[in-house]
Amino acid sequence: MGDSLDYSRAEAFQDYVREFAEELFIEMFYGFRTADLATIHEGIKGEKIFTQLEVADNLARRWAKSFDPVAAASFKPRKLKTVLNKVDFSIVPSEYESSYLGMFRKKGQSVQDWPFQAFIMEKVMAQLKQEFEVAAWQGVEESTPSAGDYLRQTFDGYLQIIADALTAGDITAVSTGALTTSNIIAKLRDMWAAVDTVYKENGIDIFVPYAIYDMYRIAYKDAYKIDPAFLQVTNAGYNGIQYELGGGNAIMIPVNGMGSSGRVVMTPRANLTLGIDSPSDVQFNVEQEVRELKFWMDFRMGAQIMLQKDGILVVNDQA
Amino acid sequence: MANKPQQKAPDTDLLVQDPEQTPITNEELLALHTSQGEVIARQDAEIAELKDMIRMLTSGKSKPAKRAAGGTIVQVCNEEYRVVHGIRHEGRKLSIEEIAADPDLCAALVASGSTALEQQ
Repeated sequence: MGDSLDYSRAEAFQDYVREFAEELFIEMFYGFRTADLATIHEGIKGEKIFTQLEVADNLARRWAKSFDPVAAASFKPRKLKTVLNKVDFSIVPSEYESSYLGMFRKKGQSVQDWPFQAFIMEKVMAQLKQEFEVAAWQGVEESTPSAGDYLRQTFDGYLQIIADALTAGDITAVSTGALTTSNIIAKLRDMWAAVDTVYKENGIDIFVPYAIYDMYRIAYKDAYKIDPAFLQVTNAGYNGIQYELGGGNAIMIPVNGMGSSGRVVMTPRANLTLGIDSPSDVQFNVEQEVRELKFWMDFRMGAQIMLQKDGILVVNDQA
Repeated sequence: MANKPQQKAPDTDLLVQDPEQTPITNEELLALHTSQGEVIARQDAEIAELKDMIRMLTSGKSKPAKRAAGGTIVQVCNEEYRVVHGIRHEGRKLSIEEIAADPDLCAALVASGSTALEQQ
């Protein structure tokens, strides 16, 4: 039989990882839902400063012979920081033989099409993608780092960044209170009123947890006796629904990573960014110890919201 | 030379002998060791679960340094709250000071679970 039955050899896994390094990297760091929406910056080791240029208002004025300059532009630094994290796990391949064989027989595939290495890596990827999704939104950086911290404790996710922006006075939350099926349509209209007209015209996304997404759909159907129109959000088939206001380019997107948060976030998806390391610096390594295979990977990850100001980042006052 | 007293061959089945108690056999001791191992493993799992729960419950409270020390303290229903950020309410933008100056609004925001007020 082929290599796939020689699953106790670390070399087989190493060969698989090297051969499919690019696919694994893309699947892991670009394959979770929020990565499909956000802007991803590769090669961030530590911190990268992005500078926002803000042009002043009222540049043009009535003519007068005197030269009266105004401060035409200001530069605001926005820091995207990535934090070093790791994945360590070990398996004893013989413990998974029966489930692997059962799965590929069900799939009708041959060993060459779906080797044991792929079976293991698929499971690992699925778990990692879910952890990345949660960390991107719900991450809260520990004030005192410790070795036992999980990924979601190593950097601030979008919800914490928003909370910090509120406290700093960079943005102002719209007071909605707890959202319910009976008030959600009205409360979202209140929030919509705070969105800058430029973004109402250019398009804006409304990120909500699934509970609020379902709440809105129920309220919409009850009010208008019709389903809101589904829109494909990304090429990966991620769907959202068209928001009732705006020029047809305001999309409500349910996000698994927001968990049970009550926060509604109205901002263009390009405003959400993720920082990761270079592909060449991220690779699974495999070592064998007797019957055990040990996997390890080091990687970097961080999140940031680029423009944090009223009108472009509109949120409600629920955690 | 005097003969050494004959020594009785050790009874390998008796590992522990307390003269006041019935001797424990090797099999019994092994069974006891195994059962203790199961208990210890179960307790380890419970401890890990509780640690996770504690970590989850305290994760939101682990960043006092990043939260603003500013804001204004108000009393709502004899509880202390800090107004930590402004809000947009009924079309008006209200600052921390304006919110703190309106007790009815503070009470309404507390009742609605607003993040503008943090219990101290």
